[in-house]
Amino acid sequence: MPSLINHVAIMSGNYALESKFYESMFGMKNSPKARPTRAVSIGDGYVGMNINPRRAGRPARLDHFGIQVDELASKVKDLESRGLTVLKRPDTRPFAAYSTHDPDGNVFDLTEAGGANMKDVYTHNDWDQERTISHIGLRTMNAEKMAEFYAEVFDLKPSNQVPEGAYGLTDGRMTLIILQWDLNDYAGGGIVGPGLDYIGFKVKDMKAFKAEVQDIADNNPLIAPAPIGTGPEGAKRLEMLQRTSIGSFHMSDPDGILLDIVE
Amino acid sequence: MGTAKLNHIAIASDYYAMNALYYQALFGLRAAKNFRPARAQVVSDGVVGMNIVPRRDGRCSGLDHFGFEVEDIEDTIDKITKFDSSLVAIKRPPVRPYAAFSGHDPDANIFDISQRGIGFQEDVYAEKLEPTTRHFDHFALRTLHGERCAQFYSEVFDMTPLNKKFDDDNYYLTDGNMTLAILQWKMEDFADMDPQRLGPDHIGFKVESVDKVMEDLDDLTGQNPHLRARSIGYGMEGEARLDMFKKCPLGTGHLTDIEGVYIHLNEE
Repeated sequence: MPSLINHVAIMSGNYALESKFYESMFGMKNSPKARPTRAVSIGDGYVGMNINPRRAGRPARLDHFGIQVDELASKVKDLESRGLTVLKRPDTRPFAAYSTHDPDGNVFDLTEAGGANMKDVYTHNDWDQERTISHIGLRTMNAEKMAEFYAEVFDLKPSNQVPEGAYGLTDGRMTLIILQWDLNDYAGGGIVGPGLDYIGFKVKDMKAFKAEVQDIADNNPLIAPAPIGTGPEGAKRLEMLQRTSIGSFHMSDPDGILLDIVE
Repeated sequence: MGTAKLNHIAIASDYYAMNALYYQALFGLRAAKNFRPARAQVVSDGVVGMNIVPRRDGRCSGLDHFGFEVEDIEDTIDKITKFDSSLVAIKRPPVRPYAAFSGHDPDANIFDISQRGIGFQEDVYAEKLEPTTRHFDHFALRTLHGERCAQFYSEVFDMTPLNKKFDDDNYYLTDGNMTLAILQWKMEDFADMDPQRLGPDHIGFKVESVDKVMEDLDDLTGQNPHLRARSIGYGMEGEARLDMFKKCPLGTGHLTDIEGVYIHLNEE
């Protein structure tokens, strides 16, 4: 049985506002069991998103993702047999029981289905809603090898909806899109190193979604999307996102994290 | 000692204007007379320039990259491809005050390349500024293949390896003024805290007195609470992060800028 890609984490200097953005624009829900002193955890009924307050020494960004497996002990053994370190996490985490990394150094969390460590939205993330997280884009140094790694270890299946030259692995609902990181892609603009690049959302009605985005931004400028595609460098970055994602509409959250919207 | 100079640091920031003021107020860094207000805020210690760049769409906020000024860019690019033919350098848009090209090491740590006297440098990179008393001392990055990256910077930029303790698995290279600390990234170092991906880790300043900087920081926070450092070392996880930061042997004082970028203080 394939594992589930059902956790995404953002680090933010404006974490509470970021949460309001995703709740307003995509209908993501907070948990009645939320712990106000820590990160905000919101969900779409399948994927949980932690928006963590940026801490000293840490950048603000789309930070990591997480995978839920049927049984942790054997998965930990498998990863360790590949020479990777698997770290047990402090028990305050609502999702992560362990964290590890792929051979390129991309960090991800691991949890077990029904694990006793689960908290907040992860204990009841099982409702239906119209707008959901559908994919994440990861740019890495050795895309083909990383695709083999995730497919082998987590039994993820090839997805038929991927940008040209990329690798897509799906758990049946969420897709991990693995893109080759190439410095040449950044000619004409600012350069970002390897790592998670964008979050993808599926919406039922793109026209209604766009109208709602405008309406929400008009009513509350603090949760308006940050501008994208502006100026020659912004245009290059948007063109790169369009070329390496699968959605027909692109925007960003208030922090500038890129979003790829699929109808 | 080689001729390449590590003389550029860049931070991407959600609060770039305020963060620039913090570095000016606490470390005495100077802005250029001919600065360009619509773009990044650039400050300097008279030798090393630091661009505090507004975070753009698709970018991270944090310590972002560093840069070398070389005598001959073409020669440097030749050395990069000679080291590893899969590594590339790309030409940058001309609006940059420093970077003519950007490249990356074998672990994809990004750096800019500039050339002395090439004519396009602007801002603090074009003006001769008086050296400041408190000045940049080191740039640290945490990476997966520390030894290979150290070899890369030594061969391509002629940086000189510094002595280290026999059980220290990090690497320290100097250009005669700045030290590049290449810290070995290990997952096990992140027990008791959130793991952090590879990349830039902290910047270091040489100061006349760590206590005096801390005193000045306290005074600055009192004068302008917007220019306050982030708290470090609080709670079990904060303590674990601070302990990890303290393992870098290049300083004794530890603080952050207003957004949490780690700053290491090394007393003269």
